[in-house]
Amino acid sequence: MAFESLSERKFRFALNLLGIMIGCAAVTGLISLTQGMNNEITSQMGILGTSTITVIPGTRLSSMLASSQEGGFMGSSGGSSFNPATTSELDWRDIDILEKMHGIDLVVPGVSGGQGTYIRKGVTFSVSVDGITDRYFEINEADEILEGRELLRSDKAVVIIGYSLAYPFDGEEQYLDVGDRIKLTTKVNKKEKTLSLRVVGILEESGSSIGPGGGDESFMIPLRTYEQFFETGGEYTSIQVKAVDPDFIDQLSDEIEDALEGVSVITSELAMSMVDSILGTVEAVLSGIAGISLLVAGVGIINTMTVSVMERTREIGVLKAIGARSSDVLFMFLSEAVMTGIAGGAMGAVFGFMLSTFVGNYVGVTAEVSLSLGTITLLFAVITCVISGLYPAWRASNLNPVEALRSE
Amino acid sequence: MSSIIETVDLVKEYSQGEKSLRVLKGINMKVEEGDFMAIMGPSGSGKSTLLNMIGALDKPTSGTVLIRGVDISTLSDNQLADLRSKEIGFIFQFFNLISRMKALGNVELPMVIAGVPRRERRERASKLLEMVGLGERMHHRPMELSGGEQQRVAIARALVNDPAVLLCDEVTGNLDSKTGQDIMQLMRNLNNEQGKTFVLITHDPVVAQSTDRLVTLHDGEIIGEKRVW
Repeated sequence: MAFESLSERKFRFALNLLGIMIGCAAVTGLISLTQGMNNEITSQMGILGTSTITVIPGTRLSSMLASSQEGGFMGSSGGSSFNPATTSELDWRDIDILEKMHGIDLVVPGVSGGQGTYIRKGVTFSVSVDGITDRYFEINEADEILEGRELLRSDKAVVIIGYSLAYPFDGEEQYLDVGDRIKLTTKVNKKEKTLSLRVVGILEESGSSIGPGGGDESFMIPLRTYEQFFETGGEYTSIQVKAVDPDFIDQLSDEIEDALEGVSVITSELAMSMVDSILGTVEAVLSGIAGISLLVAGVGIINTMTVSVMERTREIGVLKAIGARSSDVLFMFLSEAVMTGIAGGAMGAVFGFMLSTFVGNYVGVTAEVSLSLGTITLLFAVITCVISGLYPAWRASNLNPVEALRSE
Repeated sequence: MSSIIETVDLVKEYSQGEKSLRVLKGINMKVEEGDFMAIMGPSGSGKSTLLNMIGALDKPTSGTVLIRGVDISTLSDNQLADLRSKEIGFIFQFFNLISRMKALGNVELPMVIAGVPRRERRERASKLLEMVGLGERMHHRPMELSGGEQQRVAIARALVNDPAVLLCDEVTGNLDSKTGQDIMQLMRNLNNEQGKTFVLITHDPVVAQSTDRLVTLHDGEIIGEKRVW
């Protein structure tokens, strides 16, 4: 019965459906995209390794968050100008302390935040530069060399480049190869400097620039070379520590924090929870915005159904005259709303997944397409529609049959 | 003969702001099984209100309406709805068919509400449509039917749950006289052959004269009652 009345009002039904669909598509699309982002980042965080602790200057979480936003977290390529004075506070003394502590296998310092440009085949490339030691690859096992080799202790004017620098512009043409020489230009303390480097290695594609060291668009040069070129004078932006036993990593983290004053330690677990909380906020804000569109669609349904009840007053009177209970009428109108919800929700979810997959492909994130998210969207759409339809349906069911029959 | 419907001192008032308007002023009336009766009166005489009362669509202000011996003022809204579903068949002046449903669907509708299984619904509805002479047109929508045909559909709809009484509100008022006569004849046949009970309200003396019993209403009171035959 409800179905037949729907087909009569195809256009209005289609509009309602569209409203709900857009709302659902927005919610589903945004959530699946942020979940995909979360997966991506979590998997990249995984390469920190469960036995690795990263020590960075600054105290506690608040400063960690601040420094990661400034691009101080090793390897990130933010920050328009390089300002070594405020980001580096770790030095050889800290290395010394760490190397003497028990339960530590390996201590690897690193500097990041350097910026520079070079010209290759007529194109100017802008890169972020990290300073690393020959032990770097022992601790960052996920960074693998695609071509060439890792750093050697004796290396000076050499560079390991990120994948996207070797194969920029979607890899159509190789711009840099092992053995090539480039001139890196930067400004340090308002002075222009140039460094000649020879490419010795190309990193495998990692998918983004997040993570320790590397990143697809950065240079990794020997720590000493970095210090001389950027004039950082023995200060590090991070020290990576490998624990002997991953089970005692929390305890070790505490010990390090106590031993070195004014530092924060990041374990993969902590980093993940940080990412989770940031992305959680992003997700909440985005779905809140998307939720508003669902709300608007709900108001549209209230409107349409109220009009529909008014138009069908006489019909409701007839239904009651031939024996329909108020609850039958209520159910009839509500089932229209539920059908709008099911159809709109399902289409919206599908459309949302399509959208997030499409956008995800474009920005390089694999959108999370899950049945549970689709189901939740559907449920949410149905609930929205039922709530919106409740009042008009209640009004319809409570019409006095005599008056309803008399209406035109 | 037992009374299907009986009213005792039936009063209905409508409040209009401060004042109340007394539409029915103590009606005592009986509808017997197998009756083919008319309630006649000018507009405003209260005949529609009376029809709503004996059709359990509305409750009296005072007095009682007994339908098959049950005082409707003691019933809940749901019980009233069920009573209408089983015992009452309404036929309206403007047919009041659901325009988007085919004739068959319209006739099935009261059975949908009453919870009759689909197969039985289809069977009963088709049979009734054939009986009212619409066997060929049951898959047409109301818009595709003439006024007389629409009223036949409405009669089939009213009959479908085999009610105790059919209440007809100016059923010929929207039809030309020839078609009106056909409809009257159809109802008369149903009364004669199947013993269906009919109460017609009308202001048309021709219609009134073709019934067995005539109750005349004026200004909320019965002013005359006679056997036509």
